[in-house]
Amino acid sequence: MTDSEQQRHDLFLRLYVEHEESLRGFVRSLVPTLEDSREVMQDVAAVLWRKFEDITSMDDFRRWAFGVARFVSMEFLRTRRRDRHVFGDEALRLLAVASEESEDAFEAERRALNDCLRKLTDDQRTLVEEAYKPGVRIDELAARAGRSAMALYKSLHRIRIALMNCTQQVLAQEERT
Amino acid sequence: MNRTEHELELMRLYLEGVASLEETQELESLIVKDASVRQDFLRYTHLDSALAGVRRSQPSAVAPRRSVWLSWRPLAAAAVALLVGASFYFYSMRLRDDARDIQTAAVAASEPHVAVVTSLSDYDHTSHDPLAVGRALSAGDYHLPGGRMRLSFAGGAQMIVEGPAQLSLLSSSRARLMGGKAAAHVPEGARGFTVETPGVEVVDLGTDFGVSVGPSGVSDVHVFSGEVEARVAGDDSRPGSLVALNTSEGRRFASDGVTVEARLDPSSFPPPPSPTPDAPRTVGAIHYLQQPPVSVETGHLESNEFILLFKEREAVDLNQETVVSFARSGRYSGTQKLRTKIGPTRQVTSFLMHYDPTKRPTDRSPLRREGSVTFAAPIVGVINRKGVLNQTDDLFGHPGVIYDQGKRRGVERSNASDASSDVIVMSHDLRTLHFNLAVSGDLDQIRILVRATEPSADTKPVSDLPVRTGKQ
Repeated sequence: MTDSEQQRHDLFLRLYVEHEESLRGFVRSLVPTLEDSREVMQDVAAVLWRKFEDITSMDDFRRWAFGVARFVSMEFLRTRRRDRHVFGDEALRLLAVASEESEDAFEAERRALNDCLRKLTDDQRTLVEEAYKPGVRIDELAARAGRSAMALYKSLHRIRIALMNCTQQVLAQEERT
Repeated sequence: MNRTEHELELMRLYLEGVASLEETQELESLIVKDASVRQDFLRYTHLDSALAGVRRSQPSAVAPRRSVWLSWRPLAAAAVALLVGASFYFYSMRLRDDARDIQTAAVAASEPHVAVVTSLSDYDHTSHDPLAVGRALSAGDYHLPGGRMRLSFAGGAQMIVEGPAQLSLLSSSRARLMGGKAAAHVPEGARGFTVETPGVEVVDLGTDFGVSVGPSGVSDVHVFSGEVEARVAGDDSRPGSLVALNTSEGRRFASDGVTVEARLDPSSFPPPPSPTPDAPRTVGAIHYLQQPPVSVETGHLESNEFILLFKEREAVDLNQETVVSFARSGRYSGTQKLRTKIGPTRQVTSFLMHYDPTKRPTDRSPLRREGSVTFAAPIVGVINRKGVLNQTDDLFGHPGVIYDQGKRRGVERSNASDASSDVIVMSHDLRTLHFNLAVSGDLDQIRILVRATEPSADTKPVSDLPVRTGKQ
């Protein structure tokens, strides 16, 4: 890499890392199944880097990146519309706007999440750790645990709701103090 | 959260990819019509993707300031760095976002160097020391027990560190000082260079500045000239803040980022690194060493990222004809057989350019490094052939440097094609050399003879010690 490429690369990394979590959360809202959203996110990163030299103002990076993420997700969903039901374009657009506008709020929630994860029981935390390992199949995990996949999905759903309630409380408390 | 069980269940079904057409449409219409459903749906998906990012282990080199639960952040960054460097070889393989794969791949591609040591003073060497003049450093933690060290970052910033100091190199444009003193000179092209301390993040806006970190984590920041931005990270109890400091301004920060009233003494910081007056001007991957390295033998100063240049001998009398590779402006490639004679001429000063790439990873396409160097006086000859290099070590070599008189030396003479070999261009005014070198396993060395600026017998500073040579 030449020096200027290196600089461009550094700048890209800085901007990308700054918004990566938000983009991930946004892509997740568009793309059913965690595995697929991870895959789409890889494409998003690849496209962002490839097109990075075309953007003129770094102030626009966020807007541009969310636009790219939406576009790449839509492309992906187009190929899936046959075997899976997905949202239409208007919903995708509204989700993009809301994701971008609430980036800071979601960042705050992620911060609060640390406290909330500590409040889980050991069993709950182990389940979260196991279930979110990349490539893990819930049905296999369920078989190992001697439970049904449906039961595991529902347990995880309840844990997520509990965590959402918890982060909301943590943030509300912060605001009061 | 005021969502009904039913609404939450719709979200779960959709995100697990098992929602029916009716369920999808119901959720979609809720999302379109009701902003609060939209917001909670996004909270749910952000939580889901954050949980997916949770990792138990974190890489040490780029340890995050954030919590362990979010430690996938630097991992992902490392992955992108890797991918970008490897031309998306990684993406094209469509590997899953698996921490293990990323780590394995990162090891395979070998960590890039981010800075090189260009001088060291009052420093006790030990045999396994990573700190030595000419040594390129990867991201990681370094301890300087005492003395002063000058670093040249790949991004262009120059930094002097005064020991005892604890320094973490984070990237080619970012370092963290956990104790000790430092001063940085940041040229135009390297703006944004950042020094982190326990309490504050100092972002350069084109400047010379000093930073010191005391035992209790108190950080002092002083701007010698130009402008910096001191950023204090916010936390759960307090928002972040931003302080702009201009020429001659200073500020003290407690380890939690709170500003402390204090008068700072600018002379307590090391002087900012300035270019030495007679040093050649370097651009790109070429970095000038203010001191000669101990050895330039093969394998001693390996780096894919850094091309090194140092002054060998000043004001050498050239009172007889000397064979060099070329002495006129033009474009020269490693495939050419070059040989010409110069002299007798006035006194010359010799410089050695040294590039010893580590073995190129097999999964990459050939890479090249570029850079140029401009001297204050005209170049009278360039030597890039092994034989001539070996013959002229005694005359032009630095007496304190161990040279490699082995087989692999000089620029590549690949028979394959011009494209895969090294290219050197000498400018019309004979002051600038531009290098475009292939990153391959072989050692490239080029000796550059430059007209001595003040030719006088008195200025000959080096003794006539014989040059030490390494094993054949």
